[in-house]
Amino acid sequence: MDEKEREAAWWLGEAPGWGAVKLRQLTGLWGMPARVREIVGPAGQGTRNRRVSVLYEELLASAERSELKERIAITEGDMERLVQHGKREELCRDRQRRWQEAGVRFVTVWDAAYPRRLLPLYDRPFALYVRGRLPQEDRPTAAVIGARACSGYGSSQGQRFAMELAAAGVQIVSGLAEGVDSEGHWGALKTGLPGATYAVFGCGVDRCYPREHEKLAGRILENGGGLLSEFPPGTAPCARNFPIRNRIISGLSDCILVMEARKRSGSLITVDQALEQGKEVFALPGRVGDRLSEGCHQLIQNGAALLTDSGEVLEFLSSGRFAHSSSRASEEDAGEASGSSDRLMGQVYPFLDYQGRTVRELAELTGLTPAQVHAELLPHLIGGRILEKAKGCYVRNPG
Amino acid sequence: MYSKVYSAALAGMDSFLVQVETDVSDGLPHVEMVGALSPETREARERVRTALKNAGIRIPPKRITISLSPAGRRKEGAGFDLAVAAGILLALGLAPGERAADAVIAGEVCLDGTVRGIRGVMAMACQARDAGMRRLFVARENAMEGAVIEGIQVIPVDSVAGLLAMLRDEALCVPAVSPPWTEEDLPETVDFCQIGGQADLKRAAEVACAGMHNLLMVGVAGAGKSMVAKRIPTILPRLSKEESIAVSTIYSIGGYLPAGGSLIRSRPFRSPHHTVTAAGLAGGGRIPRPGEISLAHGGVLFLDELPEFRVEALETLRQPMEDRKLVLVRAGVSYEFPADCMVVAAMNPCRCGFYPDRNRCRCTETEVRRYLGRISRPFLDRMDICAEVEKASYGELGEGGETSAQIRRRVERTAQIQKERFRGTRIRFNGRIPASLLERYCPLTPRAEELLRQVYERLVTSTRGLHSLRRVARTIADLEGREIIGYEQISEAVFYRGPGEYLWGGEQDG
Repeated sequence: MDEKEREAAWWLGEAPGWGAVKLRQLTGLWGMPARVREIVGPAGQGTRNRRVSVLYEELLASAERSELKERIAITEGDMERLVQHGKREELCRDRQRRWQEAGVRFVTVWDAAYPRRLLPLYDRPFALYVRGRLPQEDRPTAAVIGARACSGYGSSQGQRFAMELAAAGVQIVSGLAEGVDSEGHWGALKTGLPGATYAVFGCGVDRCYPREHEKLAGRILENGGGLLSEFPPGTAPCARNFPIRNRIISGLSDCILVMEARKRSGSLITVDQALEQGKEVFALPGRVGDRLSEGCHQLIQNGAALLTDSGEVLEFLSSGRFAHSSSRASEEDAGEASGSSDRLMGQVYPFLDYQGRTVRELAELTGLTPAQVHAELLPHLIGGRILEKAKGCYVRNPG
Repeated sequence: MYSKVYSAALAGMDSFLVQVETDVSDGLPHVEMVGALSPETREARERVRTALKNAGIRIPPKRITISLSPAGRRKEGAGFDLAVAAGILLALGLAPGERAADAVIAGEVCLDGTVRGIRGVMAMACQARDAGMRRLFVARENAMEGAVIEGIQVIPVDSVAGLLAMLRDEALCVPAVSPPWTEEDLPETVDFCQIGGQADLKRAAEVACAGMHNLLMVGVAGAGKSMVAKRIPTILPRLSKEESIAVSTIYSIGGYLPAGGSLIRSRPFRSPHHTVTAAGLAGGGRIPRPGEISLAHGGVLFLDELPEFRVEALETLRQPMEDRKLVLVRAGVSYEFPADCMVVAAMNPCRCGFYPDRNRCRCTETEVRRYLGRISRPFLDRMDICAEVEKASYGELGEGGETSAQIRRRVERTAQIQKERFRGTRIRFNGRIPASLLERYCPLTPRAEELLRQVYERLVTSTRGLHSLRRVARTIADLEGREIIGYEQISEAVFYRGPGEYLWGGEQDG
């Protein structure tokens, strides 16, 4: 990417109201950011409203031409905001220079440094703003998540598992939040191994939320880990951004460790996203009656792996049974509209659970013939991601 | 006075000629029989003497010595009665000896002089022909059975008096003629079109039949496993005359041929109850008779409720399933029986039959493990195709699908391909390709080869399992008319392998 592209990309990344899916669709239809910038044109003309509707119609037309399979998420209002945003071009260029000088790296989906694990996501971030390093591609990665208001049990176990895994070379990803998150980071840091842990922010990487964790953030950077966010520097912490960033936490990881979670909690939302991405979930059991463990118990009941020993996680990670997004998508592919996690795991795998599905059930659920179901299952069987529980009955491998 | 006639004895699947010598001399009136005889053979004295008396032949009060040789081999059964009677008649000079000189005489005699059938006449006819004999005198009810063997005259005998007349008069020796061989379909009462749904299972059965692979059906109770098994002979390729003779010979030896019957034309279907003993399956007796696995030769041995079988009975099957023959050793003599059958087994996934449907199955995983653990891994490895059976939905119950005749056409076409492939060898079906010839007969595309390698590394536990997978893939390819095995055929074959290690293996730590 040349400088002009990078500037246009930064500008596009700052466009208000434009999230990951919309930006993916827009660049998928119109091309690289500089080309988009060109189409949107200069701002501040009197005939603005007319231009917006013409642009929007053009967008719809190109969507039709390219036979886009998914619904267009972009509205006419978004287009208007984008045209308006054209005015801030100068400002964006300034900010970009300033932040890059301050050590914030700007990694777009077209850059080779962009994490491979995120590429297959349907809602992969358009770009990441990074302080420090990004997680290494070839090292196993685990997310340690759980309640902010955790008990002593949750925090001690969070730290213990993070430490044991990190000591074995696993990268620990979490959200720098209070409670379990920060314990996970601290546990990994205790090993003193370089690049042990990474934090994904729900605000700009320039600020630290909660403020009490500034020291922790500093230690992560010193340790050779990294802080990253999909929100441009300067973005204030905002409640609705946190669930959005959770998909990056799970997306960067090969498996998720849930320490303590209440029923209907944010942690469980992350788990749902992780499951959609085809990640393995480990849940720490608690005592019956403990509110803070109810969510974990629910997960275990639904087939999550029971977490008692870090060895189980290590075994899972070392067996290579997780979905390594092994092929680096080419630049053209990265610009392409599709590429959801389903594509990676096939049509059948998402329907598998830990209780067991028969081939016939899977055929009904997917609309495939039994023979096609078999064909889809075979690579997973060979890869050890699924097991044949009884003849013709398959489960996800609980590791 | 002295006479010599020939009879035949059975030893496993084989028969050997027995020379019956009779000497009548002066001395105290007595009949003596020697030559390693079992009690029922020795009783021939009483039966023959009374039968001759009732036929109006007076035995003079002399010392009669009868010797059956070779004396070193044990002789069992009442089949020597007729020969003993003939020997006495000739020794008394009641008939000329020349017609008995190149004949074998075998049959049991009743006190009133009539002749009863014995078992093993087909084997005796073969042996007699090979020994250069011209004729075989047997009971009328055995005549059609013996007449199947070409190159020897089989002459039905009704009574001792009748035999005497034949020995005196050539014109009375009228050989039996067997009906000509036909390959017409026999009317069947069962047909595949009577089974609703179960498309996958039917496909698995078709593949199994086309290559004579062993088939294991696992599924909920009452879903139709036995129904499918009973219909398998209706889609197997028809018996050729040679196969039919081989099968009939075993039944003849076992004494299971109906009186007056000749060749068995449909493939055997043996379904021993699960209480069967090891000897019942393999063959028992001091001189062993064929067991269930030999009686199923050329056809189907169906083991319903597989885990209920005694462990030692199932383990008995392992060696014959591999070697396609069975060698029994009794009292220092070894007897070989053919045992080339297709083993079809059915079992429930657990004791209650509903696993893994956790809403209905009340078995604990330990119980499930214990249930499945009754079948050893080596036995499972020998089941080439493992198919799951699911309860057909109500809507499917009415649907008949293809008839057995339609399926059999495809199976026979595949059998034809195999016949040409294995021309000049003793192999007849893909399921019997020796491991050493797999490379030659089962070529793979590069993609299939790669898949097979991965499957071997990750899924299949034994080399035997790998070989059987390749044989099954060969048959699938044959069904599709492909010469080289592709990815899809290997893929399908993989899903026919036995259930994974998850519960199988009996250990608690799955």
